[in-house]
Amino acid sequence: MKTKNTKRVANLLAIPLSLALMLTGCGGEPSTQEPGAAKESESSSAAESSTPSEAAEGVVNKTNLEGLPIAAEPITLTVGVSASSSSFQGEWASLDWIKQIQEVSGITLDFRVYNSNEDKNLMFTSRDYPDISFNVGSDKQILDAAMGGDIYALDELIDSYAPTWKAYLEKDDYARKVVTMSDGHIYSLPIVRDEPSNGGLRDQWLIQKTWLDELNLQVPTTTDEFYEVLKAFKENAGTGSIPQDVIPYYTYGILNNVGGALDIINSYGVRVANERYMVTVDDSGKVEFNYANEAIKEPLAFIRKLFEEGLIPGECLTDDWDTYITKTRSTPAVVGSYHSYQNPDATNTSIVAMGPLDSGNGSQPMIRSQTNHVQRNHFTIYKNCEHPEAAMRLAELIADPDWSIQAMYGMFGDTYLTKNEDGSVMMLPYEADAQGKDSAPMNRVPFLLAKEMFDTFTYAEGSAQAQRDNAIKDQYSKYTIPTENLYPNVMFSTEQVDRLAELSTDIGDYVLTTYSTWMLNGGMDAGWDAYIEQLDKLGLEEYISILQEALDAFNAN
Amino acid sequence: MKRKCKEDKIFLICNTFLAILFLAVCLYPLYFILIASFSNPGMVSGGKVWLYPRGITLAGYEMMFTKNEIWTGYGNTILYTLVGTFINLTLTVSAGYALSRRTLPFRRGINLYFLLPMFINGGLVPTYLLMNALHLVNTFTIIVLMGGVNVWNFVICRTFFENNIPEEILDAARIDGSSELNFYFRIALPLSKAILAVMILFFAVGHWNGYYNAMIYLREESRYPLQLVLRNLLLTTQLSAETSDSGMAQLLNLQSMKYGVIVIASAPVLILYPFIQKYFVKGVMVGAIKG
Repeated sequence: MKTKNTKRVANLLAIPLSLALMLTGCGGEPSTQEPGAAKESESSSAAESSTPSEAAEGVVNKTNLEGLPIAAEPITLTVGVSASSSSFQGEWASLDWIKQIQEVSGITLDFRVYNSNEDKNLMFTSRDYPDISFNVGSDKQILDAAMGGDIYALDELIDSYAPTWKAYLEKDDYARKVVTMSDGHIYSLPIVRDEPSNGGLRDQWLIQKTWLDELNLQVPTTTDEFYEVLKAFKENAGTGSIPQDVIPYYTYGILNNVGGALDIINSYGVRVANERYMVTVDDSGKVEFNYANEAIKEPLAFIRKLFEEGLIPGECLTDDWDTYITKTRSTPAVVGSYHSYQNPDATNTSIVAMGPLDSGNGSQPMIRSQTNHVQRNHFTIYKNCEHPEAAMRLAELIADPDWSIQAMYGMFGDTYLTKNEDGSVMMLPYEADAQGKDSAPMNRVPFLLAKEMFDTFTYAEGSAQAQRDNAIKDQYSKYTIPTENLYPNVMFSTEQVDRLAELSTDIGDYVLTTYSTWMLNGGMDAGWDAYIEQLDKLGLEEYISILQEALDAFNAN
Repeated sequence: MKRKCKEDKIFLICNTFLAILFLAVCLYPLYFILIASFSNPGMVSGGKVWLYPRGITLAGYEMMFTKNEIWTGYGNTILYTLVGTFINLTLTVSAGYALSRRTLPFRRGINLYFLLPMFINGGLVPTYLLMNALHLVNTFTIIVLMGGVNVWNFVICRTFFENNIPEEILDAARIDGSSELNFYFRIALPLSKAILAVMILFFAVGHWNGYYNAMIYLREESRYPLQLVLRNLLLTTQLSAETSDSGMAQLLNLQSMKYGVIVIASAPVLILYPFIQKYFVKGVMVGAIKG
């Protein structure tokens, strides 16, 4: 009885087990077909074609050495890409630009989309790499993988297959420094967008011209005039088009690089930026931390005055980005003056861009520019790639000005861009929210838009980018902080990164809370010495020395 | 007696009041999403919408219909939920039943084998490496098969069977000539509708709301379930400080869409709940009290 029972039970057990096996079997099939089978067939054919007798003239490893298509025989590259971007544009594979570049190059791109830091980390820790990746991988991940021998050093490939990139990196020293890792090799190509209308300025300083006109006031040019204008906005709340609940001046926090009040401080000739690590670089190449500089007290006192008199609302210190955007963009307008990348009024009439303000303390006013025009880690070839030559030629193809500009703004045609016979490119007027929609991958592919490209590029009349371009040329260019004075996109060692992460959190938080308290409640003069003392305790000196060390290494590179 | 009634009344009123308050706290987020999906996105992020929709617009829903990835995701989610729930149910309930039978050899050992990974598991990286070695990464299979036996639910099932299907019924069935398998399908399962309903709900909701496995193991956008599409939508519509203004108009439009997507993503589960709820209370409680 007992044995019979066990047998039966064993049979019973077998049922769910076999069911499970069956299901794995069924579902497993497509999986083995995809990565496994594809790889096998590729490697076997790669082995065949690499035998010298079969290689045709001018063809290496199935790759044409010159001309298009790149692939002499069908080549498939798996491409690791990030899903997260500033826009929700539809699937990678469905973008026109991606479709066309595959057609022209003869290379099939098989996208592997990574959604989060977690799955990107997994890619690196499991060493389950795609053939190439676009915008996946941090400095540390790329460097570690390179040290582990998982990534091709691109130097030789660039020399042989990418003349455009080679020429650019030779000519633009900054770009070369940015992409060269600490061991002197290049493991990734950057994305380059050296567009004067983008990098030449961080935020425009905007003011409601309609209100000024109604109050018979001029666009302010000095801090005192600015103060008077804000006061007038507040006093005249509810008259004309100035609403009852007017916010004279609104910023996104004080110290935020985007939307913050940093340009008031810059107006006083105190160079501050917050693009990286809250530091700037003085003319002799020394890292400076002006948030602890006595000279910042004067502009801070001015901002405090604005807070004290209710010209900046206290909630701007705590409001989130969504609120900031909603308030500054609301129609009818409620905010008198603010900082923004683009002017919502592209005609620059009801809202106008004003220059940095003269503080009257004798210093030349300044306004912030950006150093984000070269960003590394946008193109990496992994060692499991069978066709590194083809991959590099693909990067070279993308670097072509036509492909690059189309990647950023959308395809040539009658919607986004027009290419004239003389080679100049014109942007067509389209709704800002339609930029490259379902057409361009935008800044997620390693394009190369050098400064010269924009000499023959015209923005659509009446577009927001055209307004910005004009504002930079006419009003801001002579005031912008030169990129040499901004902290560049340097490489840190692993130890430096870890230490910096700790220090910058402590120091950043402390500066922010102290400044917020001073702005809301005052007490700067009394608290200044204690503030400096506390900063020293938090390791400001070490912080600056790490940044200096990395900067010196970067410059010596 | 009368005074006691009065106290009772006060108690009741307070209780009702608290219950309503609690209900409101639970319901409000759902209600907010619903009204926000019909409101002007500018007013929503400006904090002006909180009791009723303002600036009523269907733009979000209109935009949603033009986004293919949402509907592909919806289809994928339905498929993953149906197949995944079926696999979960088959494996978990069978395992629960088998281990509820005292005559099963090595019962203790098998139990321990099931329970151990609940407390000690390999962690993400080894699991990923294993799945990769099995060529399961980026497949339909991994989404429906992973976590096929849910140990927690397996314990609930086992306890339920132990307490509700006594050995005596099995003996009786056996005397009448029933095989073990026949007993399982024709007697044990029909007597366990309550637990089956609960399991279906648990598993289906789990699959419906699941995005994590998809995020880790799926690489192809056309395979994404709705929740992952939604997650990416929510993340990209968080206007980060780095967002340039050109993307901003686009993002504000997407904002109005995201509430609509949440509504259509939650609707099926909300509709499913009332139908299964009666089993829900019964099924889980039976196991819990006696176990």
